[in-house]
Amino acid sequence: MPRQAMLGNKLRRLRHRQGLTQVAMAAQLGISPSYLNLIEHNQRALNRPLLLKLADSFDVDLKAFSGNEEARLLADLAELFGDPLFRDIEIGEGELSDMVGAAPGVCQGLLTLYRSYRALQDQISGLSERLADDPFLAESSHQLLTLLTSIRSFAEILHDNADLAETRRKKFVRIMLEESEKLTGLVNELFDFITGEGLQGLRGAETPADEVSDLLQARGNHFPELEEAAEALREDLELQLPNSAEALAERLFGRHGVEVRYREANGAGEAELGFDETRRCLVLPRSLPAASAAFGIARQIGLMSQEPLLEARVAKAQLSDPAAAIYRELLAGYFAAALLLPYAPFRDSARELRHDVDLLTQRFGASFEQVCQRLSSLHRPGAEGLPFHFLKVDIAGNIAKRFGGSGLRIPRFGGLCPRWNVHAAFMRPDRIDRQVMRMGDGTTYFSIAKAVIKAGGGFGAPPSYQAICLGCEVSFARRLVYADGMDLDNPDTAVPVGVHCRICERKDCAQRAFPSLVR
Amino acid sequence: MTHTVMVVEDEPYIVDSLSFLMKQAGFDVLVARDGDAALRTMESRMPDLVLLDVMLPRRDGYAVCRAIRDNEAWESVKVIMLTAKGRELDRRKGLELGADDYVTKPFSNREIVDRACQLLGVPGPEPREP
Repeated sequence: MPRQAMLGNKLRRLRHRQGLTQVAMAAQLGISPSYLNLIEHNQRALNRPLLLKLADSFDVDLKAFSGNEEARLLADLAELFGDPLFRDIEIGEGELSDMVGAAPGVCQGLLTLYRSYRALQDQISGLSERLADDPFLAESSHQLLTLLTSIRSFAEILHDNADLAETRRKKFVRIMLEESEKLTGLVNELFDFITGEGLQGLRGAETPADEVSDLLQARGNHFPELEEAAEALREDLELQLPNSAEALAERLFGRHGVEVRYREANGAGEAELGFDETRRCLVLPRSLPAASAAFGIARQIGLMSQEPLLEARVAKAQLSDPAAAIYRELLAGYFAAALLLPYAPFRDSARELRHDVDLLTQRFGASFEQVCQRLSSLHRPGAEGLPFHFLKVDIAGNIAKRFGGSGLRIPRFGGLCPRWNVHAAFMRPDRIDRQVMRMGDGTTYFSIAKAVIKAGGGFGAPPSYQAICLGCEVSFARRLVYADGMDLDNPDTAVPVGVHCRICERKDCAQRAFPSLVR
Repeated sequence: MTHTVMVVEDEPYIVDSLSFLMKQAGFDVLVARDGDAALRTMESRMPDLVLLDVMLPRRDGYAVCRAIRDNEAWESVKVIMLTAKGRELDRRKGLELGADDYVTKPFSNREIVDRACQLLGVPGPEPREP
């Protein structure tokens, strides 16, 4: 009873303010000192007749003893300590209510501090997003390359043409000097910008998932050594297409002595889901679709057969511990995808079927999400697939997976532009939504999105709702069956979108959720 | 027969150096400072090769490349895109839109002359002593 717990503390504070002993106050209230002591220590309730007596005897406002204010404070505090910032602090039962009762002012101060911390975090996120898209930086890099190009070109001309006419030679040298001076000015401006705006430290607190997402982006979502290992193993295991969970389970047992067992989704008391090392079994929920089961088994095969390779890669990445755990999972997942959707046949099929995801799922025995994610990882030099971006968002708009391989910027901090079709996909979960989306700078992308609903198990079990989005720069769209019949070239029919409201300059957007930080 | 090369670039000094190099390689040179001007020039005089910068005012290099490929009369015109170094997507987008080759800035003179000669099927200049 948190509210009562707090009232005990409140009563004690009132008594101290009045300068009374427990005996004196108990006498005035007509109760025994030991009973008052129990109330003050939250062992007995402060009931209504007593409250009325308190109001009579000490001129206190009854509302202050109603507990409403404290309840609100307590709820706010509970929310505060729910922030991942405090994930390492364990708060015992009743600790928060004790604190609200004993020191409400300190709690208010804590909340004020926390709110201002959140506001700053939001501001930092906005700035960080903005810098990544900063027009000054983009323009500077273009100018830098232009100046370097002309300096280099004239230097080579002078070097290669000893017989150049004097007037020409002088002109070219003058151009080089002029361009060098401009280059110096530009470099100085860039330094000022970097130190002035404090680029370092602007990124704010990262979550482990963000760390991994950034790493994935930097690696181009392609891991050649895992691809090779998966190809070799696939051949070794003599796996056939389409993939089947049964065949994979057989291999897992044959190679590693691990049996695959299924249990009901609501199976209380039965074996825990996941890999059980002592019993040498992998337990999967029976509600899992076949493709997901196959993936889970392939993942386990990856974890068991490629341990040294995976560990070496994780160690090399030098991540924080929680991020390393996520990265290990991700690499095992990548290996599973490479095993089930082997690079060359998958890439060839994607071309042949014009990236029809449903046909690919049938040919390979894979899920919609697996196929889309794999399509975004075809970056083998000399045998690339199309440059796709890939995005997985839940129904609340949280980004579960992101990879911006098409050049599209996907915000790190959530808060995607509401006009992206990945959100609208939830409204028509039975179909694939297609969209031509035009960014503020005119760059245009083509995107497909589909909602994927995973059943929770039996009756009443809550399902999970996620949407998968796959897209590319519009120039590549004709290679997708989904672009058939769509007007890709007309800028007026493309949906005007942004990345995140905070960095979006569009003034006429009815979906704007936050004011823009961009001038 | 002398081949004609059109340089489409808005930076005057890069126009100067590319013009010098192409003339030195034995080609006639046309110059356009933006995308619209490039297409207008092509209407009256068709070049054999276009050196096409991506970042152009008014109509960017991709749009020009697409317009060239959409016009059957210009089917034989070769296109080399000049892209920013490290912009893999720019390179792929140019090729997707029908460019024949690409050179990344800052390019070496030798590289761009060799590519031009190769596409036009003429022997490149003799290698020089470094």
